[in-house]
Amino acid sequence: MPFPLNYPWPSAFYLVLYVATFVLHHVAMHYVVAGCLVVALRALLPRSISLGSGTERVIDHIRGWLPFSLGAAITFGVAPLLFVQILYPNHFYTANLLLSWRWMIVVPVLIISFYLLYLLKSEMYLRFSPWLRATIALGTAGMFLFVGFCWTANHLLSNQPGAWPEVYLTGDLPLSPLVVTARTLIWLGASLVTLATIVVWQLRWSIKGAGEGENPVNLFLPRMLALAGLGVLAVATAAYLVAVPAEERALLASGSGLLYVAVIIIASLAMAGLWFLLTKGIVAPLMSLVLVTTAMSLAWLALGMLREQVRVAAIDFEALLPQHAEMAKIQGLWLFLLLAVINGALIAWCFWLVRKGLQAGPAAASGDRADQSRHTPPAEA
Amino acid sequence: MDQFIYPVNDYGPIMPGILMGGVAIVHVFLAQFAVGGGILLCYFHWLAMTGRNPHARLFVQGYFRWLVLISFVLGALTGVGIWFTAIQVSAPTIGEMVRNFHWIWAAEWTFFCLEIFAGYMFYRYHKVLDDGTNMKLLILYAGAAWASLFLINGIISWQLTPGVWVETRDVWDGIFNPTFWPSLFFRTIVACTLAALVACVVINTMTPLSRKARHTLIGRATHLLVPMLAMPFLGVWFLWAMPDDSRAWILGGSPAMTLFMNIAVVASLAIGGYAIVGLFFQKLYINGATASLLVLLAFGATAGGEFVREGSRKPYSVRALMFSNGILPSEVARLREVGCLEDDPYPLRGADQMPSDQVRTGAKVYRRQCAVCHTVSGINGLTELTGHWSNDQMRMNIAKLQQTKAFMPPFAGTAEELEALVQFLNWADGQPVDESEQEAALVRIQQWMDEAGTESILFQTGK
Repeated sequence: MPFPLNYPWPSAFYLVLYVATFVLHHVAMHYVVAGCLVVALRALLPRSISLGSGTERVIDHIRGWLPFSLGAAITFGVAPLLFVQILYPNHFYTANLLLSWRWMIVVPVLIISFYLLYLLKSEMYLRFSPWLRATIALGTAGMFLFVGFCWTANHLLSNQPGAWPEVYLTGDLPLSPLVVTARTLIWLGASLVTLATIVVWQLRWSIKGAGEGENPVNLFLPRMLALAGLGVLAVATAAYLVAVPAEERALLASGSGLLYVAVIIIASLAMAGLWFLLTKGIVAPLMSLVLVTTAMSLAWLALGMLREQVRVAAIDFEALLPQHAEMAKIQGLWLFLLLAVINGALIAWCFWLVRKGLQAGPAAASGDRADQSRHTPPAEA
Repeated sequence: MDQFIYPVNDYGPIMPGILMGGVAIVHVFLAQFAVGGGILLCYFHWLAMTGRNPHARLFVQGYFRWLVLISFVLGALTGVGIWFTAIQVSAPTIGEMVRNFHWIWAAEWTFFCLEIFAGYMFYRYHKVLDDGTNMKLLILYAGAAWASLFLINGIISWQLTPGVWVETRDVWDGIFNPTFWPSLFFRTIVACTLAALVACVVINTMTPLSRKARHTLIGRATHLLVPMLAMPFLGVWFLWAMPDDSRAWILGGSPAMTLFMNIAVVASLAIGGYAIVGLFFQKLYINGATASLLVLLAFGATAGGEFVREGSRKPYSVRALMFSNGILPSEVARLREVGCLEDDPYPLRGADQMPSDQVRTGAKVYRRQCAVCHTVSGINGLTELTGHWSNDQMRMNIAKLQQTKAFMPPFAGTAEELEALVQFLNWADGQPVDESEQEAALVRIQQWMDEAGTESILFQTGK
């Protein structure tokens, strides 16, 4: 059976939940990181250089959604943070403790970067000089890269129990710069692809929601981002395979590892082909967008599974299986599943309500506000 | 149960609990503000859509902006911060909580997701949506926020009063424990109170409005302060439901606990008295400075209350299940046989500065059993607490620790380890290391430990 189904069902179930929510968190995080980089690159270009109204609109659109995306990333991140503590409590907690301040600084950095995203979104930002705009955007992106590094350090340290006593004594982290760099570039490459895909969905939704008469949106930037991202992903993956130990390469080249690698390669090729085929236009054809999104989701899920497969091979995972079995006996799963469905449906309803409201147009909103005659005017007015 | 040994960090003169406490207090304050804010916004939006107040719509727009900028950012990230700092303080405790309530936490996560989507949808589109749609979004936001409070309140209150869960291990017995309901109602009222006080600050920033218009809005906001009338009764209910020893500490038994309890009560009375008498009945106008002062008082009340809630659990981090230092009550007897350092793989930092192996052992014992709540010399510093004791007093007080102070756990190590701890504390305090009569001292230590037993004094006296 492919990983993780080769493990008893409690461990396999928690692993699947962890990877699924981890990917969900990353999808939102990709938007933020790649979005900051796009905004930063635009800021570096002189104002006199126009990228075309369509592309400028896309960049402006991305800028406007960055704070929400970070909020979503943080919220989505609670679930994998929970499941990693179920799957690998000793490893995760020990890595946290060994990193100490180098780990906890993630929180104040995220607070500062969150407020910087609101600044990036503001009208005031557009009035800054190009250098200030670029500094703010690049600085914000840099903070997210730093947070990403902290998470990478936590993850890699948690997979090396043999090194913990020495790390505790010296504070030196047993990290390979090449591995860390390659992992970061894999993340950045994936970020660009995710950003491109989400942006096209958003623009499609908002155009449909806004009704007819809107200016067409150019797909040039999303297409370039996606193709660039796939290129970075390919190169970074090759670099990663060179940097890691032979045992890890052997793991990735056999059994489940090979299956997931195949999924990633096929999905990436499919994405590349689809993005080449997506034509400039008002709205991307729905079927193409669905296929691209499906391929992207499969690729990131497969990457997530590979990540866990490598981790499981690095630690004594068998020793954790009894703990997982015990935890699986704890009640409440039905509540989580029921609420996941209900709240998921309510979130979808929110989208439907807003879409319906946008289609109704401003006249509907002002009509309600103008209708004061149903009620007795308040005494305090 | 897993007794994995975790590395322990040294924060110098700062107790790790202070670090966590600071983050937790800010988070609780902002999270409760977010819950109450949702309720208040539903009310004000209703006022706007029914024409009961022509300025309510403007207020809703401005207030939600504050909610997003403060609660959605700081509130969310300090929540993550609690998790990170809790791991630093006591990884075994947070592990135990996750082990027993992970599906409840996962369920809470689904409400977080609904909260953020409903909230941001309102924030982004409310100006172009109709009133009915806006109201639905606000109700979803407020409902999700309160539901998350409902669930986390169960987990937090379980730590103090696990109730019959200790026998049944049923997750619902754990959630609906003795202090669940008074705590839930109390926190809901606190949430409304915080939202109303912040509303008074926000209203004062709406300078385009006349004072009369702002006064009408303040009058509406103070409606959410009326439930404060129930707080004394809920407080009494909570006190009644607490364990006897915890109640005794906060009502005079522990000076620190009593002080913080008084801060919480007095601050709440001040706010409640001014709010109900002055604002609701006499309909006084409240300016920005006064409103801000009330918000600060509310923060102080929150801080005092949370400190009391955390401290009154001592010597446990989860009552009857785990001591604050992560050692299980069921493990104490075994650790007195084999020692508490048996499975500790972590070397000692600064070991070369210590004069002997015994002092180094003592440092490791301190790290294993004491460092979670004490520093060597600083906040709650052991050298300050024990500096005036003779060696024999130290030996006896630590051997009978649970009798020395009822909110301390029993010493969970061998007589040799206890003696090593005494010598370490002497060395840390600049006292000479006394190796004389140690053989006789070990005999006395063992005798004292046997007299005191391995259980917390709370369970020895049947409390």
